[in-house]
Amino acid sequence: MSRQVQGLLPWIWQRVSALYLALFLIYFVISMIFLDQFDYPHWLAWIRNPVNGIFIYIGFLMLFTHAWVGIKDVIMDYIHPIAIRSLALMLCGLGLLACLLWLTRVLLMAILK
Amino acid sequence: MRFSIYRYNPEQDDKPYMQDMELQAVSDEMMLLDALLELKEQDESLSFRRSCQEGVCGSDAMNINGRNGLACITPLHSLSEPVKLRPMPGLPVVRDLIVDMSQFYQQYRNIKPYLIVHDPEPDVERKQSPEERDRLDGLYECILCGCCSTACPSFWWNPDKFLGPAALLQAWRFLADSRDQAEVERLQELEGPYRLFRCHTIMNCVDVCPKGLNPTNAIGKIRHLMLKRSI
Repeated sequence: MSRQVQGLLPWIWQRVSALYLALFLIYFVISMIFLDQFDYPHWLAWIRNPVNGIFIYIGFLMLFTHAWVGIKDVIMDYIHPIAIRSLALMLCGLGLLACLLWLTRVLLMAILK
Repeated sequence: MRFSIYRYNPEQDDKPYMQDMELQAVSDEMMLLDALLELKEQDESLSFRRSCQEGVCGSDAMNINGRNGLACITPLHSLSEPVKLRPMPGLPVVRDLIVDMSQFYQQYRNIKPYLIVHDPEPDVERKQSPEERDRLDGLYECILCGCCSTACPSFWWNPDKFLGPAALLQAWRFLADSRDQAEVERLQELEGPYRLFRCHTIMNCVDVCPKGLNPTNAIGKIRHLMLKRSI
């Protein structure tokens, strides 16, 4: 793995994902304020809007990316033995991947129902 | 004035301990180093480094009431009692308040702290415009006391891999120098997950620097230069 992949790129992704999440949060709050009625059917309709669906999905991808970079940093800082570090990274990676698959299922079900 | 001082002589003591000491005659003008020199008269075995006594050499850096600083420019009246003095954290203790700074200097060496020029040597000096010279302000003033690096948790956890704020400030000092011609090589050396990118911008370094320098800002500038170069 090149040194840039381990150094600069995660740092860039951390910034890009944080920026996206900040902008998405503003968009989400404004959307909720201007919702015709603040109830479940309107909320569901907002989520089923394909543009919003894409924004939400990208938002969660960014959240997982941000979480991965952060947790990788913590593990690299504090866990030094390579075997335990690899195990911790693998478990966190698998946990995030499982969350992503679960989220995909939830969103698809909400859109397709 | 009461003091609680970290004592450890590896040749005699099984483990470190805090020794209580007291100084009767204390004046408002006294700096912490003056007090330490008087305390040393009470107990000759008390060991600490000092040299210029005016915040230029950086040799009397220590942890003062939980915060790194230079004893010679810390006014006694600014400290709460008992004044707790410990060696700078994260480095091996040689004796009492004296730490082994080999690791710190090694990281400084790693950034090649000198101008690298590929052009033939000019007949006269290598000139800089006033603006180019101004870019070095806030960088060259570092006295390598080690206050910043030893206040940095990333340096505590990975002192052999992470360069630390002091070395990174100097890395930017040479990257920012218009006379240096090794920008690409220097940036390549800083790549990877450890040397530069262990910095998580918590800014302890800025908080404790006795010269008021800003290593976090320098680290940010290196990252942006790296980003610019990679696009």
